Amino acid sequence: MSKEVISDIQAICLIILFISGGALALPTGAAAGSDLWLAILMALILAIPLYMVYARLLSLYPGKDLFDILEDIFGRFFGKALGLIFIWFTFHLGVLVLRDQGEFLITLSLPETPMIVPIILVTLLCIWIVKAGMETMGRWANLFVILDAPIPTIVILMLIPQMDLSNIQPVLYDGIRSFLKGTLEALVFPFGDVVVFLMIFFALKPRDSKKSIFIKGLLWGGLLIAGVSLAEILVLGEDLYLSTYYPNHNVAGKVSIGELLQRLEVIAVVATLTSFFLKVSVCLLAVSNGMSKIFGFKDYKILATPIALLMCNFSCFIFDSTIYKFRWLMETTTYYFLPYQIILPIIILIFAQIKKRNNGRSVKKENKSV
Amino acid sequence: MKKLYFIIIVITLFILSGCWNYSDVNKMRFVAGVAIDYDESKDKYIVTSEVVKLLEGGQRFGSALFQSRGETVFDAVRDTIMKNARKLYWGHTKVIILSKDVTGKRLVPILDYISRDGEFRDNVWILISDEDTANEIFENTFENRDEITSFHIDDTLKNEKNISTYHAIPAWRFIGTTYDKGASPTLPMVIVAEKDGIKVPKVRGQAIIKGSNLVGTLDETETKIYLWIINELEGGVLTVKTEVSDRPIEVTLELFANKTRIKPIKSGDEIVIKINIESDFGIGEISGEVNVIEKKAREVLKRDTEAEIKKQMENVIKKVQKEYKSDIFGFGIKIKDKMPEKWRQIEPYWDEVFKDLETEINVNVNIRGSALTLEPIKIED
Repeated sequence: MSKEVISDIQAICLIILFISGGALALPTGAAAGSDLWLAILMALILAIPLYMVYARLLSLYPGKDLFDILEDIFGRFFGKALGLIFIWFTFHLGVLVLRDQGEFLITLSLPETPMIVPIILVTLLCIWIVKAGMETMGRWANLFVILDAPIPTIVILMLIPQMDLSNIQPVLYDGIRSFLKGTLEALVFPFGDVVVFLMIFFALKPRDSKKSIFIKGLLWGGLLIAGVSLAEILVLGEDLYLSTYYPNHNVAGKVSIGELLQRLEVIAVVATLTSFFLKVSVCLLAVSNGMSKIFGFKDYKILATPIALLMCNFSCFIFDSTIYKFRWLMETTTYYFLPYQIILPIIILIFAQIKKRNNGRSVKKENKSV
Repeated sequence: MKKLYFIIIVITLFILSGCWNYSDVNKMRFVAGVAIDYDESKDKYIVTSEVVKLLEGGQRFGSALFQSRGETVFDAVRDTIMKNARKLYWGHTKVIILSKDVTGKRLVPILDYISRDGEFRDNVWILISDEDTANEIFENTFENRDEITSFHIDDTLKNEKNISTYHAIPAWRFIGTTYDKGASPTLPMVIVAEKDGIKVPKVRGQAIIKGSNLVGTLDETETKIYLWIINELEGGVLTVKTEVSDRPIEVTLELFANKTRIKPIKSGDEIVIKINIESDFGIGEISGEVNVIEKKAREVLKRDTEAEIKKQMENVIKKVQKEYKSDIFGFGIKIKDKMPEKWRQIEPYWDEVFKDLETEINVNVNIRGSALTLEPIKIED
C-alpha cells in the first residue's frame, strides 16, 4: 500500500469543514437559550485541552492512527475490540450526518422527493472521494474552504441591520446551570466529533506539529460556528431560534439589502451541503480504514462501497420522522457520544504515556546492561 | 468498455435532464395575498386569495379572487386548489389580511400554518382589516380587478419611512414578539378608501394584540407617537402651535432625524421608565408673517415643540396603560435587559406593574435649518 500524505494546510481545512459540517445548519448548544453563542465560545475554550489530548496521542505514534495505537497499547484482542467500539461510533456519526443532509434538502426545498434520493446521491459521491483517497480529499477540502467559510461570514455581515442587541441581553439570565449544559452540548457537537480524525490522520507528515493543526482548525472552525450562532440569535431571538429546525437557513433568507440582495438561502444551502458531504466522507474513510486494520486488509478502499451502502441503508430507517430525530438528538446524543469523544481518548492517552515511559525505562536499562 | 460508458451517458441524458416534479409557470397560479375570515355560524374559516392574472392583451397584470371554506386554514387552502383546478404557488404572497374576529384563539393556528408551511415566505406582512370582514379589502378595491390590491398594500408598507402612520412588521418578527412576556406586538390596519373615484386600500393605524387577542387600536397620530417612542420614526411632519411676540402662529416642522432611548431607572422601590428623545427638525412651513427663524423666537419655538411632543407622548402612554394594559413599547424587555434581578420578581405580575408604571419623558429638540428660505414671506399691505 502506497503511503498517502497530506499537507498541514489540507489537514486544517479538513478540520474546519468537519466542524462546520452540520453545526452550520443545525442548532447547537440549545440548552443555553439566548446564551448559546457564549456556550459555544466556552466549549471552544474547553475543546483546546481536548484537542491537545488528540494531538499528543498522534505525536506519540507518528504515522500511525488510532487503531494501530490501540493494538500497541492493549494488545491484539483488546485493541481490536476497542477499535470496533470506535468504529461503531464513527459509523453512527456518519449515518446521522447523512440523515441530516437528506432531511435538510427534503424539508427545505424538495418536499415531494423521497428522502433516499439525496442520500443515495451523496453516498455515491462519498464512495468516489474515499476511493480516490485521502490526498484527493485533502485537496478538495483545501478548495472548498474558500467557498464554505466566507459565505456564512458574508451573510453575517449583511444581517447586521436586522440584529437586535436585546435578543442576547441580559447575559446569563437563565442561570449558570443551563449555560453549562449548553456548553457540554456544544463541546460534543460539533467539537468532539473531531475525534474521528484520530482514525485517519495516519496520512499526516510525521514532522508536522499535530498540536498546531488541531488548534488552528479548531479556532477557525469554532469561531465560524460561534459567529454564525451569534448572528442567528441576534436576528431571530431565543424563541424563534429554538423553534426552527434550520436557523441558519432561516436567517439567510432574512438578508435584505436594497431590493437587490435578498434571499440568500440558496448560497447558504450550498455551503451547508458541501460541508455535510465532507463530514460523511471523513466518517466513511475512518470506518473503512478501521475495518481494514481490524480484519487485516491491505487497502481500505475496497471496503468503501459496502460500508457506504450500509450507512445509506441505516440512515433511512434509523428514525421514522424528523420530529423523532430531533428529540433523540437533543436528549441523547450528548451523553451517548461523550465517552467516545472525551473519556476514552483521555484513558487511552494515560495508558499510552505509561507504556511509553516503561518502554523508555526498559530501553535505558538495556542500554545500561549493555 | 467505451461502448458501455457511451450507453451510460446516453441513459443519464434521459433520466437526469429535468426536474423531479417540475410544474410549468402557466400551470400555476401565483397568490398575491390572502384574506382570512371566520364564519361563526358554520364554524369555518373563509379564505379569500387574490391571484395574479394576465389581463387580455397580455401586457398587464390584473387579479382574480377565489374564495373557499374549510375547518382549518390549511383545509380551506386545499379547497381553493380544488376550485381553481391549478396549483397555487404561495412563494410570492405579500400580505395576509385578518379580520378582527379571527384574532383571539384562532390567531395561533394561522400563525402556525404560516411559519410551518415551506412555501410561504415568513416575511409576509400581516395586517388587520378595519372593515367588517377581511375579504372586503380585496372585493371592494379596484373593482375592475385591473390592479393587484396586495401589491398595492405591499408598496405602501415598504414606504413606511415617509408616511409614519402605521408600523409594518413581517410575520416572523410578529411571531417572535408573541413569545415575549415583556412586549405586546401591534399590527397595521387596512381600510378601503377612495381616491380619484377608484377605491383603493389604505393602511393606517395600529391594532394592539395581546396574547393573540385584539385589545385596542391606535389612530394615525397615536401611531406616529408610538413609532416615536419605539425609535422607529424616521421622518414625518409635526405641527406646533406657538406664540411669538403675542401672535399665535402654526409652524410645521419636518423631522430629519430622531433618536429615542428608553432606560429603566430605580427610584426607591419603584421602577421609572426614562424616555430620552433627541430630535432634529427643520422648519417646513410657517403660517403667518412672524419671523420664527431669528434666535429668540427659535428658543420659544423649541420650548413649545418640546412641550407639545411631551404632552402627546404622555397621552398615548397613559391611554395604552389604562385602556389597553399591554406593553406595546417593549418596556418589559428593557427592564429585563438592564435589571434582570428586578425583572425576575415582577415578571409574573408584569401586566399589573405596567398599568401603573411611571414614565419620565425628556425631549430635546434641535431646530437645524429652515429649508431654502431665511425669512417668512411678508405680505405688505
